[in-house]
Amino acid sequence: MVPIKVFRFDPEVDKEPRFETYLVPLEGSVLDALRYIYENYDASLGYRFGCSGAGHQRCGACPVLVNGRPALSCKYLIEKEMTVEAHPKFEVIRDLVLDFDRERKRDKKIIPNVKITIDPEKCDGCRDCVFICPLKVFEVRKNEAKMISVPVDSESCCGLTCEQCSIFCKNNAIKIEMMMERKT
Amino acid sequence: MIESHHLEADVFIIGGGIAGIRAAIEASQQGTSVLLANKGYVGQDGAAVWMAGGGYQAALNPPDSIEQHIRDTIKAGKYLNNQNLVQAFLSLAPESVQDLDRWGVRWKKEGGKYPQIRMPGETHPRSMLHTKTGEHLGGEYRKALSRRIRREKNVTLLNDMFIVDLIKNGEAVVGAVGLDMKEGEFRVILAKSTILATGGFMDCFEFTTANPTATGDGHGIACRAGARMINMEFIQFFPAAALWPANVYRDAYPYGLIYELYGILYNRLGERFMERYFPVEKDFATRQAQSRAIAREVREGRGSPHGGAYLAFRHLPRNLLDAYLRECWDVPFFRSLREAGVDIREDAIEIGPAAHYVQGGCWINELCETNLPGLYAAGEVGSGGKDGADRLAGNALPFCMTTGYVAGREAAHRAKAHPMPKVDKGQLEAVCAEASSPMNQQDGIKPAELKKRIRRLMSNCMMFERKGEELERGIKELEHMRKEMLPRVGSSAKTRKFNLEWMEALEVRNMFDNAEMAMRSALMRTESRGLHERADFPNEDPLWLKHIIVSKKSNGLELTTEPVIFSFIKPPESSKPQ
Repeated sequence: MVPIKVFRFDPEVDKEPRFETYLVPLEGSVLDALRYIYENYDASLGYRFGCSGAGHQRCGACPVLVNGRPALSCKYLIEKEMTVEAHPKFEVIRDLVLDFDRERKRDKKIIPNVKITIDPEKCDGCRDCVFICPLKVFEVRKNEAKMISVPVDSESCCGLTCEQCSIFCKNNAIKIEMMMERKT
Repeated sequence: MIESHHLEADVFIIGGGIAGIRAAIEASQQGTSVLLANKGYVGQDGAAVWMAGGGYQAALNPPDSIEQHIRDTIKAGKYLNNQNLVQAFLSLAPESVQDLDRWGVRWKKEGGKYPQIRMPGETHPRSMLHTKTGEHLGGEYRKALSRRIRREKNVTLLNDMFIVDLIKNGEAVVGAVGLDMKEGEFRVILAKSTILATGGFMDCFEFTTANPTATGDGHGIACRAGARMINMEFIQFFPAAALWPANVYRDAYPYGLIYELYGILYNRLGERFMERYFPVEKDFATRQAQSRAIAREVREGRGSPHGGAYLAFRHLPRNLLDAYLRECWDVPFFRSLREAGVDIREDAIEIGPAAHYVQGGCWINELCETNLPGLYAAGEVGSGGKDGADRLAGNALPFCMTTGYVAGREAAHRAKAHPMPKVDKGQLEAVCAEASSPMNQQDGIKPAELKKRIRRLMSNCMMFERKGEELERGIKELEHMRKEMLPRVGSSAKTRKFNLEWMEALEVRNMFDNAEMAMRSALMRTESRGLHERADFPNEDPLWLKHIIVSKKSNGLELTTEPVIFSFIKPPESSKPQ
């Protein structure tokens, strides 16, 4: 068992967010750890999920910050000394649950995870990446003569825990490079 | 408790997967207003379709034909299909491929044609491919469908809305009561037509390829509202979900490798055991046949260490595998294998059968109407017996697209011809009071605990080699749990906003209904056919060429049978009643 620090916040009741520490098994993903906390310690923990952990496609339901870096919790394997926070891209409904319809004003620096490069030759501005990215990292903008996708918020990118944009780009125009040791 | 302001729409759709979205698009195109409720955020949730691997069947390339597709489907279904539905919906499958193409799904294309591969049970190659070799199609659907639905002006998405129960006016369904998770409040949705598109209840089993959100809420609410449910005993198990290595646990990907790379299954003795069961098809047998064979090997002590079988590719030349792996370098499954240090050129992976798909659901006709006026069903919950006793791999999604299309169209037609319904306030209050009960429990039973018990029970008596006495015991235990434990199920957390335990407590009610319908139907069918395998009745019985229909009466579930109509093809002489 290892301790994990988890962000707790109910905007209606709490003035300030707080962190609580729980002991969880050192196996599986961050999502498994959240489920463990929910089932064994505190069922009031709010978190989003689509799948049930490792081995599934990425639906983008569960973005969080792990040790300050964005990740999908289903794909980030649990390790010692972890802090899990709500992803700062969107408003918090409760705890780790985000309201994907309401973006939040960035008041906190995220440690960038990745470097995203878009090949201007290959990109045709089709907006697939705009729609598939769970964190609205891309925008299509006019660049000289043509429309092209631009990573306007690569800070929010969940990197190799998600990668949906580069996998599903029809022109293979998106390259994601991790700026840290990879954890998936 | 309930707001006096009700949400209203011409067409109300429950479920934001492929069938629900297709229905919403169609109803919107027909010019009706649409509300679509989903228990997660549409496009970023646990809908089964986003996790789909390959598998999309449509007869596009001669000599294949729609007729052959229908024949293959009915043959796989052991002649227990509703043939009219198979014909009505599969005829629309080629068109649905075009729809998805237009909406941005990148099928593999060569010279203006769609190259297809043959999956088990198909006479001709009939399964669509992704442009990238070995890539899942699930992400394509997610990209295309969640983008397309948001472009429909007539559609309003109700994200994070868990539907508690349908509401009725006489026999007619006039909408539903939902729990808005974001606010922790009940909402009343009134509609001229309501479409169920909620998927299956695979989460009633311990090992499943489905997401934990697949609790069969639509089956539960439909049954409680009085809908007739059909073929509930048929549950498909996916033969090859990964058991090992751990970082791909439950991944359905290995199944594709059986037919793409001609993978071979071995037991722990190193025997190619599939040859023993199926001398002709061998490793290429249908899903159920594979699952059953693996389960038997495990039961007889010849399983792999993690309780399944070995899947190996060493029989193929190394340079051929290298070429394939180079193409699939980026595929998450192979990346995970590399991380785990497993090299399929040398090592086998372990796979085993997992609950994958539910063949049973609402009885529907060719217009996707259920027996309740105003209620339609599409996709997995809109069964109608179209899959029969077994489902062809790759038939689920075309059925979702085509039933979604028909349900959307018909629901819109009905909405145009009817005024906005009224609803009795007493009924709403009764629904809300019952749904609030988990919040009023002190020291209640945790829903997660109850879910575990249901999964245990279902995995024990509803997988392979079902036995009459085990099912009877199982039903008794379920009844006992329903009586003693379900009323005490409670949420220990009392926060109203996004209270997962509250939602789980409501899901548990549906899981009880689903488990009971499935077990009772399985007990009644005293034969083995397709997915339904009875150890005490091991043979197919021609007298059982009929559907079991479950409906809820005041004193419990009533089970009746309905003959199968052979409007398209007749079963072979040997399986006809003597």
